[in-house]
Amino acid sequence: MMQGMQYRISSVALFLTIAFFALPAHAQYNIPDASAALSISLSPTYPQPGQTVNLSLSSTLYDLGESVVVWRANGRVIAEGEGVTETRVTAGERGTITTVSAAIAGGVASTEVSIRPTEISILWESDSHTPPFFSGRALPSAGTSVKLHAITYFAEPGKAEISPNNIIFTWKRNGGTLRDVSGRGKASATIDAPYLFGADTISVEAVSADGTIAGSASVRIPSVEPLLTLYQRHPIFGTMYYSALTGTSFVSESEMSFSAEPYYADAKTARDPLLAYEWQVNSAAVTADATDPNTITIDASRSTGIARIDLDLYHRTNLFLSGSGTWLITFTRAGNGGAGSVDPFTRQ
Amino acid sequence: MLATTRIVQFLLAALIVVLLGGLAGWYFFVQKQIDTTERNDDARSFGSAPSFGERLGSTYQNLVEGLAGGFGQVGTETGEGRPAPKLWRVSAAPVAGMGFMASSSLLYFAERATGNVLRADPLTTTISRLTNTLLPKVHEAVFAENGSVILRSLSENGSITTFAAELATTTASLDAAATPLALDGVYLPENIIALSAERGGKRVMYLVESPAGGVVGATATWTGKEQKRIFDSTLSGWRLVSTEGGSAALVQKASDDVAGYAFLLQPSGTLTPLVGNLPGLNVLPRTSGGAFLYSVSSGGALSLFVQTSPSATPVRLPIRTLTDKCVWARGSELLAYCAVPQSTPGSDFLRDWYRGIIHTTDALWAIHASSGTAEILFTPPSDTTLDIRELKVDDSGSYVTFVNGADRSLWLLRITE
Repeated sequence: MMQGMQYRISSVALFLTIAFFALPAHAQYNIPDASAALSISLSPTYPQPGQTVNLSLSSTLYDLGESVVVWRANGRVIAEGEGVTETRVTAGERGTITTVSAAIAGGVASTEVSIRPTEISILWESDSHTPPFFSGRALPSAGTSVKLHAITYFAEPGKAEISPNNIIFTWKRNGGTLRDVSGRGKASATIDAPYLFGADTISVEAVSADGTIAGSASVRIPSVEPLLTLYQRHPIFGTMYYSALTGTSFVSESEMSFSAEPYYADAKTARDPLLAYEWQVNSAAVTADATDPNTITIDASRSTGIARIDLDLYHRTNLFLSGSGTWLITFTRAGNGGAGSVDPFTRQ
Repeated sequence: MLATTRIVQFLLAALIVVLLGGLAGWYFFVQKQIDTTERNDDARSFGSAPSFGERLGSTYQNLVEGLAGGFGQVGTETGEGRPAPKLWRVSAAPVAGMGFMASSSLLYFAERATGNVLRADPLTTTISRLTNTLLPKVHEAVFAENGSVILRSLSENGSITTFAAELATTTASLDAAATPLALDGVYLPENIIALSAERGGKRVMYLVESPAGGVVGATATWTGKEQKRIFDSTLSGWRLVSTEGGSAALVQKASDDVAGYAFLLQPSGTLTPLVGNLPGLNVLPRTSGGAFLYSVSSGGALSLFVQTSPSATPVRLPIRTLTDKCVWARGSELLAYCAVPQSTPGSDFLRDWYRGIIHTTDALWAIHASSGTAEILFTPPSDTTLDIRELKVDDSGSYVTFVNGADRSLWLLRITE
């Protein structure tokens, strides 16, 4: 009986000894919240539909180089192996969710991330001057504004797209947040144009109000110099925007009006009172008509028919706005400039 | 007594002579005024119908004759009653726009100077003046295939005016002496910055400047009734390019190396992305079937692509041009015609071309969109430089018409033998 007792005690002691050494080993693989020591990073951070997403696993606790890692996308194994800490997937269509998980084999730890592809388009234009019927984009110059509009494509599976009113927009210029134009529902923004000869990178980050979907986009916007362009203002065809006068031009009339258009200038119209036009014809200054300052009429009926037109453009309050142009116009129906004729190149 | 009688007789004779002289002088003075008035009326196309090329008025006549050839033709097969030459300059005078009639090779066009609508028949080289209402300095004209027209101009204060008229289908016959009619129509809202029209001439879609900034998009009947607001945008730099069912491609105005976007805007207001984030983007949708051409301008080079449907993979075409110089043909085959500059445009091409600073010298190519191939169709004679714009093709695919961007003269090219 004593031997039985001793045997029993020895067995229990042996069991306890083994358990004592075994428990810590088990605990070593089952530390509470150990999975938080795993994290997956995405590149790009906000993937677009169909875009390749690079995934990278990191850990502050585990030696991933010595661990067998299993990657899954929507439950399907996409990569596995010892030290496999990187992989890639293709983002789904808009409105889909791709769940990517990474686990250390043996159920030691795992983590996952959801990829919700989003798209943001940034549309922009300037409020600079372009004439009516002009087919090109108004580009920004110093002193003008840039209007931006972000179109978001945020949707959960089986649900309608999220309204911009339920999205928080953060606009940035060259990395700096533009607080005045950022906020919930602020899909549109108006900002100052880049400085003269400069360019700005404008970006927007958008997050749904519930924080589940996010995206970003950026665009580079350069500033341009205003371009002075001269056209014939024909009495019956109107301003001939389709055929600008270049350095040397011929006009089959003895008298013609010419209009200057300051493309991309900081002005509402070509006749904006803040614009100052300084005209010269054959080096003689010509006073512009206050009601039609961008137009000049030349009568070559009593001349040799060659007029050199010089034009300088200034803005009365925007010191960064300036432009100039020179045009040589030959009037093919001009007079012979006979003796005693006065200089005909006076504004009428 | 006798002396008195003689004096009276003498005085009476003198009086008669003076009266006759005064009447003669008055007659010649009035006649001169009548002649002057008639010339002025003719210049404005009032009164009797001028047969084409005559009685147009001295001012207009001089201006037209001052342009090379006037209403002339290129080629040796000239003269009324004969078919037009392969390349026919329909009008040397600037035109505002043109369009073919449905199932016909008749070409309607509007004069820039007067807003008058004329019709050209390439089978007989006949040109008829259909309307005589003076609408001066028309910048744009949009024609439906029933001859209805929209004329766009600038008012004195610089606002854009849009005049929409339904041209009666029972118009003057092809007889050049037929009487032109008045052009009856209505003005649509002021400052419409972009407009597209259904081919059939029933409805239009337009974007009008909003007082609060940006634009408002609306649809209406051709003459502005049944207006329906369908779209708002804080941006205003848009173009509308007509496609099927009253829809239009809504395209950001382009600039070299600047990203642009295009959408499909339906009459219901539904906005669907078409293609985007491409530099210098321009788009030309087909009027049925969903195929579209698009061009980009980047790094000083133009590229042209075709997508046979919105979901298809784009195919780059072996020619360098922009969709402003292209037109889709009718029919089941995905065929388009494009004018291609024969020399490489430099950087800032769109900016300079849109401003009228530069003009290209083009050849005409046929694009087979299904196979992504292109073949040259026509090269103008060496003495004829054409900067081809606003291409249109008739329903039979026999003729294309276009404007020469350098002077806005109107041309017609027969592309079938």
